[in-house]
Amino acid sequence: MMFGIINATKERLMRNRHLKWYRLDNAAKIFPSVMTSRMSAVFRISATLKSCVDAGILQKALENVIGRFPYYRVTLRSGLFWHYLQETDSVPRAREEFFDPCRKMNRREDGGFLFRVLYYRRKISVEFCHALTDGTGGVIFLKFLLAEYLRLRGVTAASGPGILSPEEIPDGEEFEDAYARYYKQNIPFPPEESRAFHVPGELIRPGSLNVRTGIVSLGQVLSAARSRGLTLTEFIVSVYIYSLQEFITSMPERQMRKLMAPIRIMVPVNLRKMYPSKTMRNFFLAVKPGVDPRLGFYTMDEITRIVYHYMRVEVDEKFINQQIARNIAGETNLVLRSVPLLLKGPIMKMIYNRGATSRHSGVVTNIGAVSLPAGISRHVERIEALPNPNPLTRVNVGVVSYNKWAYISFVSFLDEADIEKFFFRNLVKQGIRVRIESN
Amino acid sequence: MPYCSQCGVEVGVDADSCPLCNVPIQKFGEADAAGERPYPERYRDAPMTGGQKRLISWLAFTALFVTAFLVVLTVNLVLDGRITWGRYALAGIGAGWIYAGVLLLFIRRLWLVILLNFAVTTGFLALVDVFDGSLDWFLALGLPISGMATAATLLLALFARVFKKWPALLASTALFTAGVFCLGLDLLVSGYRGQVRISWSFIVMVSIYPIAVLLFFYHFFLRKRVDLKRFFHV
Repeated sequence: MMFGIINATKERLMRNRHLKWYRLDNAAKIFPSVMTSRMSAVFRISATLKSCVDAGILQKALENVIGRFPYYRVTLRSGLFWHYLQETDSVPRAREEFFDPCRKMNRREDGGFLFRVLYYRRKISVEFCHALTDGTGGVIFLKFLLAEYLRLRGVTAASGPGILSPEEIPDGEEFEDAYARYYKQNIPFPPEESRAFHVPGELIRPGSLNVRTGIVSLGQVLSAARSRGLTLTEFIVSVYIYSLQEFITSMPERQMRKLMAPIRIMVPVNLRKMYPSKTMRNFFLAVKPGVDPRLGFYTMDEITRIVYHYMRVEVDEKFINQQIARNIAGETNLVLRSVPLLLKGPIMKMIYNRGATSRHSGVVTNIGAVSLPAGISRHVERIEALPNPNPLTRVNVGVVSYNKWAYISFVSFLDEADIEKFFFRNLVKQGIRVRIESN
Repeated sequence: MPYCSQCGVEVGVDADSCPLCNVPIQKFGEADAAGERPYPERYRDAPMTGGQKRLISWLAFTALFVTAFLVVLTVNLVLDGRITWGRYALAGIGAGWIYAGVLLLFIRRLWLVILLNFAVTTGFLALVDVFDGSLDWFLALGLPISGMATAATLLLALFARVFKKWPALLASTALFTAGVFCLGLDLLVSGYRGQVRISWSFIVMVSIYPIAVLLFFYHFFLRKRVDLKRFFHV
C-alpha cells in the first residue's frame, strides 16, 4: 500500500511538472493573503438577457470560450515564497445562482478556479477573483461568453468589434504583468495618507452581502454631470462624497465627533487607457479624491470643484508611475521576498488593512460604457457590475452604463441602507429618476 | 411603477417597503404580479450566538479529551495490565478538560471562573500527591500556593474593575500585589525546606516597588498638575 501511495504522488508530481505556471501580477500578489469570507476579493459582472438562460447551452458556450483564455484556466497554489497560478485541465462549470453575490473563491470547489459563471433566470453572471484579473478582463470575458452563448442559441450576427473569436491564438502580451513593464526605477514614492472616515455599523454575517442597485437614465445623469462640467465617474464620486458628509453630520454630536476624518473615495483607473497594454490580468491603480469634513461642511458645488480639479491633476502618467514604483518596490524588496509565504501572509494582511484599505472611505469603480455589437445587444437587456466588497469600508459602489441606462450598484455589509438612502435621494434632488432594486 | 414617498425613488412592483428607508410602499389597486426578483431567494440562517459557539467548541474539546483519555488508558492497561503511570496523565487530562470547560462555559462570569479554577487546581494537586502514597507536600505547598494565587487573581480582577479609569493606579496596585505574592511564595517554599527566610523575593520587590510607588505618587500627586506630554516633549 505504501508503494501505491508513493507511486501515485510521484505520478502526480511528474504530471504537474508539465503544467504551465504563472506568477501573480503585481496587484494580484496581495489578494490571496488577505482573502477572507467577507474580504472575498471577488467582483461580479452580469448581463440580463431578454429570455431565460438555457443551462446546457451556457455550459457548452463556457467550454468553447475557456480555451481562448488559458490565463484564466488556472488554480491558485502556494509556493514557498509566493502564491502562483497553475494551469489546470479541469473544466469550469456554469452553476445556478444560489448564494449571495461575490462569495469567496474556494480552492476545493469546482476545480479550484478563480472565477465562476452563474445563471439565474434571465441573468448570466461572471465572478472573478482579483488575483486573476480586473474589471476590464471580466468584461471582455463576459462579452465573449455572451456572444458564444447567443451563437449557440442560433443568433447569426453574434460577433463584431470588441468580441474575441475562438480560433484566435492569445497574444503573449495578454499574459503579461503590465505593471512590471511600465515600471520606472529610482523615483520617489507617493506621500503617505492619513486614516480616512469609515462608515460605522454592525456587519451582517460572513457569506452574505446586501446589494442595492439604482437604475437611472444615462441621459439624465449625464446631463446633470455635464452641466457641472464633470464626467459620469466624477459626478457619482462627488454625490457620494456629499452623501457621506451628510451621513456624518446626521449623527448625534458625540458620535459625529468620533467619526470625523477625511472622506476619501478610491477611484480605480484603467491603466490600459494610459499605456498601450493588451494584458488580460490586473492593470489598474487608484486615485483618491476627497474632502475633509473637519474643516466645515462642503456644498455640492465645492465638492464638484475639488473632484474636478483633483482628477485632472492626479490622473497623470507621472503620478501613476509613482504608485507603480512603490508597489513594485514592495514586491522586489529582497527582505520581503525572502520571507516564507507563511509569515509573509500575515505581514501583507496587516499592510493591506492598516496601510491601504484604511486610507479610503469607499470605492467607486466605473466599468464604463459597455458596448455590444448590435446583433448581441438586441438580446441583452442590461449589464451590471458589483465591486468586490470590503468589511472595513462596509459599502462599495460599482457603476456600469449600458444602452441608455446607468446601473449604480452598492454592495454593503450593513442591513441599514443609510449611505444608499442619502446618495439616491441626492440624485432624485438633482431631478434624476431612480429605480431601486435589491437582493 | 410604485414610489417611495420618502426617498422619491421607484421600487420594484413586488416591494412591500422601500429598500433604502424601509417606509412601507403604498399600493394602488392590485399591481400586475409579473414582477420578477432580480436575485434568487436569499438563504439566511439565524447567526449563532456566542454562547452556542462556545458550547459547540466545548463539545469538540470534550471529544478530543475523551480520545486522549481512552488512548492513555488503553496503552497503560495493555503494557502493564493495570493503571500505573497512566493515573498522572489521566488526572492531567481530566483537569485540562475541566479547565477548558470552565473557560468556555463561564467566561462571562469572571469570579466563578477564578473560583472554579482554584477548585480544579487544588483537586488536581491533591490527587497527584495522593498517587505517591500519602498527602505530604499538598497541605504544606500545593493548597497554600494555589490559594494565594487565587487570592491575588481575585484582588487583581477587583482592582481592574474599580480602577478601570486610572491606569497608573491600576498598574501600581497590580505591581504591589505581584510583589506580595512573590514574598508569600518565597516564605512558603523556604519554610517547607526547613527555614523561613526571604531570598529571591527581596530582589523582585526591590526592583518593582519603586516603580509601584512612583506610579502611586504620580496618580495622587502629579496627575492633575503635570502634563506628561509637555514635560517629556521632544
